[in-house]
Amino acid sequence: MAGNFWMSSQYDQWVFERQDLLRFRFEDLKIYSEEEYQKLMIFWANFIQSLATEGGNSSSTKTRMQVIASAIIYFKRFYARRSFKEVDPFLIACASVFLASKVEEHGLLSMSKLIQNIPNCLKRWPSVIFDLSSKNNGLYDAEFILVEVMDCCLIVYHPYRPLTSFIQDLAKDTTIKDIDQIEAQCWKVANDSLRSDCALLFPPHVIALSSIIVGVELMGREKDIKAWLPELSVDFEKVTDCVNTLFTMYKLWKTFDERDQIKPLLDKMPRVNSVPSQC
Amino acid sequence: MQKYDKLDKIGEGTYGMVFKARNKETGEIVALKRVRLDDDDEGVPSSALREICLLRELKHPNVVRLFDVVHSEGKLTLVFEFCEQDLKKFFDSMNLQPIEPSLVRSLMQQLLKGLYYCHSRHVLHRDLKPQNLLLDSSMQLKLADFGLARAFGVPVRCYSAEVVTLWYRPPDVLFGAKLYNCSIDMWSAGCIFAEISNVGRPLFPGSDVDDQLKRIFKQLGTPNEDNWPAVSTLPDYKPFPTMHPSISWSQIVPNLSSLGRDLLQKLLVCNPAGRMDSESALKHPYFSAIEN
Repeated sequence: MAGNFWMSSQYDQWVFERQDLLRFRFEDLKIYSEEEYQKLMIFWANFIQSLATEGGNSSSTKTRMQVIASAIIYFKRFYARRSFKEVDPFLIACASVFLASKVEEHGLLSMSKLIQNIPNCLKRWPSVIFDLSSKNNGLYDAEFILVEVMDCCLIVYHPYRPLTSFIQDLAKDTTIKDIDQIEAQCWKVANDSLRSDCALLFPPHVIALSSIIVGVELMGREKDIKAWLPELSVDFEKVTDCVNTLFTMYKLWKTFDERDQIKPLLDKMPRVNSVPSQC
Repeated sequence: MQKYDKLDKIGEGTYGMVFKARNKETGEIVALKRVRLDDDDEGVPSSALREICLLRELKHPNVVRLFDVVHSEGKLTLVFEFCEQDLKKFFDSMNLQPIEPSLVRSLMQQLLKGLYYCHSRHVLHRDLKPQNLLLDSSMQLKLADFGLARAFGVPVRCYSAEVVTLWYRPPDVLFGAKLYNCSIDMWSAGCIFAEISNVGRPLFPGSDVDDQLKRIFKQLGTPNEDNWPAVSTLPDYKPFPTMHPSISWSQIVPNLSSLGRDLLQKLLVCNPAGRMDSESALKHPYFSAIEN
């Protein structure tokens, strides 16, 4: 569904202020520093991506990205409303992928197949152990709870569509060379934005435009958008904020050696009932 | 689920039983749709998820409201606004007495308003039929049951193994067209329009895909490459004998005014590209002209 973002449940209920996020995460921020929290979120985004890619049906990359993006945002929405100690994040990560593959009509991913695939997906993080084989029911309930905590808001607006129209608009300037390279780089930034809080803070078109700004800067081609950018009517204060959020995330990601650093972080995780009760 | 007193069973939906119930706190009457979870590997059925996430985004007087989704004891229940009856039951209750022309017009207008709202949000219903159009006590019409149809192909059977009716499917879909757009709903709306004016006599009650197409072409003429370019490239296309319309629309829908017949013919166009959309249909003089 493309629909209209301004009339969506996302605009209505799932775009927050930074202070809101700090308030929601109050419990978890007693255990983790904010930086550690952001590192964990990078790890889970990567884990979700790996789950969706390994276990997913082979179809076009773009569809798959849509599933991955929705799954990561489900996960983020859930933990904006609940703390880590309430439901095991591994369980919610699996449920997010499972749910997103159905909502995005990606073709059904069977629950047992998804569970079988977990060890495969965890190979990148040899120190991380998570075994769901005995918790089929847990995943079953986690899906329900995920739907419930998200208040059934399962349709997510991503930056990809506005990104495509921004690039089309930019491409009208025929003096810009290799626009497809720029586009590829900006898509990559939009994908990476899922490792930050952007999706909980900004509307999709702001993230899209910020991805372009960051994308061209990473390529050293800021000049190419210099004339185009000021012509746009957007909230540039928000865009600047979003651009900064993206750069902060990249800086953190660079210093985050997941292989070594994830274990101590996960060890600090409060114990939860693996089978979630009603929250 | 303690919040609700179950009253009567209303029927069987796409994925489970439907009950009438009363909210114990507010006294409000609602419809409870129990989601059957029989496949362990699927979790919440995609059809139910589809209905939940679409209706969560849709709020319009002509679209049924989803109030709540309740999860308890491993079951999922969708709580909907309650409507007295559906269009099919309304037809049955009329006992073939004619429906007032003003009511026919009002029902059709509401159907189109609901569709315009959904289509402008890029939501297609894809399975419109009288059973999916609910009527409340003041004859407000509401689109319901967004669960059955899916983006890639309309399933042939619903959960009770009842064969999904072909009567409201456009020829492009019957020929296996996969890329649906709003035009699929506009064809169904046309069929339903004719059916309302004839107090529940379906326009094209085909028994299988072939019979369905034959009935359509008999009334509208067999399409060809001239009036429907590339029709023969559709996946399930097969040639049909050339038929020319022989029965006039005033015989088919004798209770409709000439403006009504004009609207009907603009909806029932075989080539989906030529079918009227919901926005233009609402602007048709049938809804504005004072007739007598």
